[in-house]
Amino acid sequence: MFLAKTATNSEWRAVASAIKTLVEEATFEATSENLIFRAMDPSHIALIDLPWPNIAFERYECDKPFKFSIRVEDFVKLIGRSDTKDSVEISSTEEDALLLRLMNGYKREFKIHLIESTMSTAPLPKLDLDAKVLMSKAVFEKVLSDISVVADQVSIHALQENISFSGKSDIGAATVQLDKNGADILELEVKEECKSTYNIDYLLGIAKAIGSASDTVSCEYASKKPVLLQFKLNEQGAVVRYFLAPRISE
Amino acid sequence: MNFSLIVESYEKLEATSGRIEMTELLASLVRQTPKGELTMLVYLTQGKLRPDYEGVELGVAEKLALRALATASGLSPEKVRKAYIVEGDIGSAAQKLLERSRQESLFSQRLTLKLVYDTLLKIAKTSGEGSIETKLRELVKLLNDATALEAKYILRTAMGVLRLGVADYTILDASALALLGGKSQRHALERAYNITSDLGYVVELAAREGLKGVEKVQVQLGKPIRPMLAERLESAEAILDKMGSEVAMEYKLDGERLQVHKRGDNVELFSRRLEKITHNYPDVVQYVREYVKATDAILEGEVVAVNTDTGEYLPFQELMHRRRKHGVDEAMKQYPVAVNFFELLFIKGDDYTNKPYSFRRKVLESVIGVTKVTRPVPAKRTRSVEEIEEYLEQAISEGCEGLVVKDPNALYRAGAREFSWIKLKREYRSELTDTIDLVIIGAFHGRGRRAGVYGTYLLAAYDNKRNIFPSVTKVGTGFTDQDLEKFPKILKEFETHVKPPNIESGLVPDIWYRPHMVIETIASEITLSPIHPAAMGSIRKGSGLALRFPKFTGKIRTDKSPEDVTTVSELVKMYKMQLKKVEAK
Repeated sequence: MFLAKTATNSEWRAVASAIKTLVEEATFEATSENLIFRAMDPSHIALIDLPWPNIAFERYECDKPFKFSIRVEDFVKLIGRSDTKDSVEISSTEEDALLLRLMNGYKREFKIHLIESTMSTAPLPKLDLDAKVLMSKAVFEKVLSDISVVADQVSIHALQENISFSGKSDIGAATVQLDKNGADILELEVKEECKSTYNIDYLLGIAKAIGSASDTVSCEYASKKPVLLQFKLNEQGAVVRYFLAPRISE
Repeated sequence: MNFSLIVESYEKLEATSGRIEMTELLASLVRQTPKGELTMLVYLTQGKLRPDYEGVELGVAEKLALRALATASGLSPEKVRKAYIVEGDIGSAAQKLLERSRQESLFSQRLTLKLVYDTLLKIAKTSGEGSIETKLRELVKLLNDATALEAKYILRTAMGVLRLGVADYTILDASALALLGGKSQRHALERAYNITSDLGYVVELAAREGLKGVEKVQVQLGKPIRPMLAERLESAEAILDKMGSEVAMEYKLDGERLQVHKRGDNVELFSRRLEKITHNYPDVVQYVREYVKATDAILEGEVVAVNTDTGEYLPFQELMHRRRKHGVDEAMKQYPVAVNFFELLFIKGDDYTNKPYSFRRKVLESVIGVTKVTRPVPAKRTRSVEEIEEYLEQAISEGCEGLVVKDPNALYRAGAREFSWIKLKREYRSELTDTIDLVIIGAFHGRGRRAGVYGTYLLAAYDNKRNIFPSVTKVGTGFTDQDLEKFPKILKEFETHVKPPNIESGLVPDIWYRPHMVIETIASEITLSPIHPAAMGSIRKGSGLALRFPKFTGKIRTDKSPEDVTTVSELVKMYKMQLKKVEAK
């Protein structure tokens, strides 16, 4: 028997839409300790990792390891039926199906059939990252949207005192600089000055998918290395981790 | 095997034009390839993924390739498009762009021959809803892991414009050299190729089992035999002069040539260009089950559309209604067919390609039931010019194109065009020349009544020595309004704004097409031309051959591949024949 319940719908909403940016089929693996989802987009540019400990849920039961695959589009639609104040409960059934219960005074119950998936769990990239910035997610989105007016890639340049985001193209150039002591930066740790370039569509796509489920984003990277974004969904350890490979230009 | 090793060899091959040097480069590549990967190497070097008869299309259109390149390079689609137009080739554009800018992947891996091959095959076989996105992602995955040089060849292969300039016979030579100890062993390989139509299979067999294994290759049910082809001559006298005393004449029907493989009730049909077309002719499958008196056999026949009310054979165009993917049953009722069998190549475990025509024909007659819908093709022996002419008239009055005259003692030479089979058509005897099949390589905007559609098409012959399609004429007459509407739709997926590398022309059309669609034309004569490069310099310095007053006959030759169109050397022959006639006057 597997059962995972959250008090509100926001975590699942964020997770479903985050997964949808990368893959069409999703495989979850549940053990007594945690619920794990990990997948890479088919071109191996980006990876989502959800290591959710059992305490991240309001209620969690799993007596033996349980692996299940679903079509992401169906899942997004069903979760989309939930209201903000609904508690969301996902559980296994005798047949090859997943039960989704939405409860808020009255109870709604949906059943989705599981699919067979041949996808293997992706490994995690090994990273040794030199800079870390924790900032407001709203500001992060705003900065990227600013840069995207002129460019489809963003260069992130981290120094001890500030971090800047810039982009340029035939149209022109844009730069946004944020100071360590400014209100929008919650933390800035720079072991070594670093600069790297990433695809804006991927970064904005994931930030928008997370929506209001997280107020902040932590962004870690190193020169010419992947970037790791982390979105905290609750205080008990529910987090969405997102890796994106860099772009290399002359 | 690392893919980088292969592309390094491709680079050298591309820079070479000498056949001997090419053969040696290729032989060295064959030697370095593990046995189990030779089939993949051979198909990729041919610019294919599977033998032709399996009908696997590469399936990456220009637009998709450009999108993949934009993603992999991280550059805007406009920049990629510009680079493509400037370079004139997807491969060189990819190499240039990726050397400057690229999207990394999270886990990059070195590309292997197997990974590249398997991914391209997966892309080719993906179809249905969402397939474009799947193809795109798979292609991007490959490009993200590829070096700039590897990307050049991956994209060229995916788009079907690889063109290393390596002909099948060069691959045969190189394999003989690398695997069997010398080019002199090539004949054994060539024979094996001609009876199996699968070069990858033959080369791997040579690696695994040596010359003995290759020599043991037999005609196999399920693998089509490359068809024997007929030469052409213009008169009965010329044929008898060439062939000697007694000849066998057969009706040459105006239909589609089929190769029939029968194993019990399991029947497969292959077209002249060795595509599997079983699904187009469920009725023929049934006739073969019922009226071919042999459990296992490979036969050749001509399928023709027939008027069931009169029993008359109908022209080729009627039959072409049967070459469709959907509504086959309906088409079957509307356009019934009959089959005239003319060759028996295999029966009850025996390879008949090594037996003389007279013997094959005798057994064929004993195997084919004579019914309203099946029969051995009418045939007759003769020693006289008059009888040939008479039989030709008779054939034509019964709706045939002409005769095929065969040497009774000749073996079936798979894949060869020789004077042991000779076509005779009436057109040669009148002042008209024979029809000429050409491939469409471009189009020009129409004017007046044809404004808004392409009004004129640029056509090419095939130069089989160089694997190039040189233009020979523009044609604008003979098209119905329906044709003009239909052609661009058929050609849409072959459109390209850059001249494909295997095309030559002194003209620049408004749109280029990669060679695919073959049409039949008729013209008043062949003339020398400074604009069209076909057979450039072979008659007169600085001149190629072109058609004068060309006209589309209305026939789209879906049964012919671009490589099956009239060749440059045939044009040269026709030109010389035509000159003789004029001199005779």
